[in-house]
Amino acid sequence: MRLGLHNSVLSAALAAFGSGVQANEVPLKQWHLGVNIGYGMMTNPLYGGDDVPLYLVPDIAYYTDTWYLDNNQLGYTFINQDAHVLSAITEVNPETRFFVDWHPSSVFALQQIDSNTPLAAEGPARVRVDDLDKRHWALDAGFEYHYFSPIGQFQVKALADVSDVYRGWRAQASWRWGYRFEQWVLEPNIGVNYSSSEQNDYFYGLSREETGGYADILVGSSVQPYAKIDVSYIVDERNALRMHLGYIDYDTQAKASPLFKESSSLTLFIGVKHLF
Amino acid sequence: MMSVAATAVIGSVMIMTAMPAYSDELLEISPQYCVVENKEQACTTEVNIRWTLPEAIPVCLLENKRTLGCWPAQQQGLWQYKAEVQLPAIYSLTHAHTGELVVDTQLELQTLRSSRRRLRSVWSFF
Repeated sequence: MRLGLHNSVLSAALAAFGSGVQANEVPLKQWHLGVNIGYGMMTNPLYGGDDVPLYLVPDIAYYTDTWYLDNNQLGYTFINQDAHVLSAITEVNPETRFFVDWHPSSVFALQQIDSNTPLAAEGPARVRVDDLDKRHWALDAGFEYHYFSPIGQFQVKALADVSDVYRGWRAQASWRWGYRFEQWVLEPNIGVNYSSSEQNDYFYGLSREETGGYADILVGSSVQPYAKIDVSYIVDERNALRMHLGYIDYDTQAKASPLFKESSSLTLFIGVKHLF
Repeated sequence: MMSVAATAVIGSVMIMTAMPAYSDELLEISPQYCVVENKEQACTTEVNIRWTLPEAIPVCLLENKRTLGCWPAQQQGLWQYKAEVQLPAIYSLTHAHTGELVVDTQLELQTLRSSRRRLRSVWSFF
């Protein structure tokens, strides 16, 4: 294993876009280390929840023929054909991101809300994130399948909680496409997330203790559409200007949970990407 | 890989209850590696297989589970053919009558692939 700083990764990846191939290529057995620096945030749809700051977003990947580590996901690829890729995966469940104290002094510590304070209502049937018991980080494991076609990359995955945190499962189906025009690269991504009732109840429901002795509030399962677009302007082999926009729908959860002040979350980032 | 051996002698007749343990060097294949673009691709190459046994026994040569040929009792043998096989492929000599493994070796895989498609976006978490 070698810590290689590959200076042609970006160009190799982008060469693929121009020919209509949707996926980036990364060299085997070399670390891909990049960083996105700029200004951005992911809005927090929960009462009292901090928006997720996006000033420095690392981009880390390491691939072998079979194993890979890629931004929060560890995978083992069973089938790696031109059109079909099937992997066993494990990754951190992202739902806890809305329960983290993202104040600047806490960002790197990733402190979570941990309060035994009794429920404090902020208006009728509305509660704040910082009045809740801790929502723990969960580790999920499952399978992910990619289908690479001339009209884009289709992906489905299903994962279950293996850390005994929320004891449920989730799934995702998405379409991603990459297009390069001269120095510009556009990468739209749309999809739907499925959250089991166990996942929604754990993160967005309220326990009897949290409702001050009243009944539990259960959210039930949900389907959340999302859409993202990534726009890059290639400056040179190692640097690009980058803008990212994302939208995740939380309408089903927002209707069932008093935690929500918004029925969606928006992500915006403007900055530069540097490849080491 | 080696087979487990055990022999028993009754009178002057030696009965083989299991095959002797022959070292891998007794079965040689050339080439030892087949280079393909990616590991799902079948290997197509001219393969030379040569074996030398300590004693003359009737053997069959197998590519994975497919029998390539069988020979009467002899100590040495040679087989050449154009293989088209999914790797890694195990070539084995088995006793022609009992089917017991005598010796085996493997045609290994080397891929030309130096990169692969990336499966995640940096924005997957957000």
